[in-house]
Amino acid sequence: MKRDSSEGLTAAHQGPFFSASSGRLESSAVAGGYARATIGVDHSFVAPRPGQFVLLRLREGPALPRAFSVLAAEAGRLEFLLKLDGALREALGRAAMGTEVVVRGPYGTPYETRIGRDCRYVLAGGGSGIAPLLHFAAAYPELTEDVAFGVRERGVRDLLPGVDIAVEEEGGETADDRLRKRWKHGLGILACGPEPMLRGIAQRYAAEPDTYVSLETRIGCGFGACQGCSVETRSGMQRVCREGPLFACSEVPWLR
Amino acid sequence: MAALTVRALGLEFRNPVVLASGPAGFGLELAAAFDLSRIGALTTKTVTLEPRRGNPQPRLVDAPCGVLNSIGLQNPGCDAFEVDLLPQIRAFPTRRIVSIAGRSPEEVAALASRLAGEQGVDVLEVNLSCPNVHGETVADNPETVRAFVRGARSASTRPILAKLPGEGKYLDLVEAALSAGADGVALINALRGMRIHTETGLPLLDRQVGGLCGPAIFPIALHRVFEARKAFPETVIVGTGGVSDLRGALEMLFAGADLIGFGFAVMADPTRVFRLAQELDEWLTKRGIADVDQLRGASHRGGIHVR
Ligand SMILES: Cc1cc2nc3c(=O)[nH]c(=O)nc-3n(C[C@H](O)[C@H](O)[C@H](O)COP(=O)(O)OP(=O)(O)OC[C@H]3O[C@@H](n4cnc5c(N)ncnc54)[C@H](O)[C@@H]3O)c2cc1C
Ligand SMILES: Cc1cc2nc3c(=O)[nH]c(=O)nc-3n(C[C@H](O)[C@H](O)[C@H](O)COP(=O)(O)O)c2cc1C
Repeated sequence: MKRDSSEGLTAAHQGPFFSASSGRLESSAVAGGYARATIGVDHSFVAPRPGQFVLLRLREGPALPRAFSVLAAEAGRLEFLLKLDGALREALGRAAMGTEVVVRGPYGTPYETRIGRDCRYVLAGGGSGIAPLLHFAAAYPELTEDVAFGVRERGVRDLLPGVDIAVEEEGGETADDRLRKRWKHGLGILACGPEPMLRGIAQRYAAEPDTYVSLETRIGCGFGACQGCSVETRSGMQRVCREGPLFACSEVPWLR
Repeated sequence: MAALTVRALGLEFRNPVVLASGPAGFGLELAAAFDLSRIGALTTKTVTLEPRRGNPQPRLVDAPCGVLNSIGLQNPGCDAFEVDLLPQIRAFPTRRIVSIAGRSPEEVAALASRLAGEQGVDVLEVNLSCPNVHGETVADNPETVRAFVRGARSASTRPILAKLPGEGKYLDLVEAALSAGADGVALINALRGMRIHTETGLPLLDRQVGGLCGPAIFPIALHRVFEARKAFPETVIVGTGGVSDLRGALEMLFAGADLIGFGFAVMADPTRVFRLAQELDEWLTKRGIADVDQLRGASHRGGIHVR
């Protein structure tokens, strides 16, 4: 594997918030408008913890790298769930195995350091928002009560075998419908998905003490400097890439 | 090893690589990951008298070969800058250019005078070209530029750069800034642009307009720097706009830049920016060019002659 030169990085700072690697696309499966892709990275690349994200860039793709949660991470390998909609994701979905992908990160605050630990959670995920929640569920079974996942097309099931997912085109059921059935008092919620879904959850559960939403904005630098991803919160402007992406629902009243 | 030192504004810069105002924030995050002595200077995010929350999301919108930004000068204000940030910035092993902006010449004078006594402010850069704040948008008239630069000049003996737009009669603006006492100019700021949502027909940015930066604007920025150098052979120019690699940096130097500003590139590929001085050194050494000074403005005098 070719290694991106890390000259210019001081030894003390190769992690945890800055590692770069020139990775290779190792596998990719496409179904239902999504791709599940594995990218091989340098072994020194700091493994993202659940909720953290990395920035990806293709040599022939958009100039500004894009943010992606990881579905699973092990030494030298990162796995992603990509919605095939947009310049980089469509290019990645088409890319040949072995294509070089520039990877930088991990960035953001791991979910588990943002949440209360005295309850268990229902993980509500829509579309590619399922990815960080599966990563979380695998790492923290003791904090995971249940899942409420949903996608539009049935093909996505083939990408995530064994995962309990509602498919809208089958019976009209959504992640949100499942959350209503599976959440009860005393449980927390970790939600990641499209904004309308997060809004619905905020409207219903914002007053509950342990409701958290993982926000999406376009990320600029990724490391907290450019303020491109900042959102208004009850404690002032906060960066999705640094303090986030997870916020207590009560901190972002505009979401309702 | 070639000499990379740039002597400008009465100061020495270790090399011509300057982090432009904005994308690098106040340098704190970068300082934790990179060795700042590898760059010539850091320009801070623009500081205003009062804290600013900036614009609502979305603040960044994709553009071919770049991005439109609409940050809206979010910054903690001058008090917090002096108390919380400057003590850390002062310790950076590089030159510090502090960017300031105000709604009036008086505000700019007030900021300049607040910072006049502060250690660790090597240069003041007066931002006269932010496309992203209401009522104080791009200064497109020489009178405004003159008044704002005079405000800063009257309050500070520090070297002053005027950060100017690359649109309209930009050479008149350079002339106005210099005649009002600026020691040099940073050219160019992001160019005004927009995108529209194809499902709704509505502008993607709340304020409609955003600042286009990144490789998309490089040829425009290069031309502005070239023209400014032709018209003002002696002034200091920080050539900024879409530079992302060694080739872009070389072109900026040939066009006449003394220093080279990197904005978008810091967001897209910071490692590259911190490696650039070394790449420049290798390029010069390979060609037997002893001093980076030999490149500056070479396009205006028949190019370079390498052995
Ligand atoms: C922390 C975080 C984690 C994320 N994790 C994931 C993940 O795991 N998987 C995933 O798939 N995504 C994820 N995203 C989202 C992803 O980063 C963005 O959607 C990113 O923009 C994708 O880049 P792209 O080049 O594929 O799409 P882009 O080209 O940036 O397009 C993004 C969207 O905008 C639309 N669009 C573009 N231009 C216009 C226009 N003019 N009018 C109307 N619509 C337009 C596109 O159709 C597309 O839907 C994450 C984002 C964040 C912040
Ligand atoms: C996210 C972002 C924030 C910026 N903020 C400022 C700012 O506060 N003050 C300023 O003078 N210029 C600001 N700029 C403009 C840059 O300094 C630079 O002039 C412009 O982006 C063109 O250079 P580039 O193509 O290298 O980015 C900002 C640019 C970006 C992308």
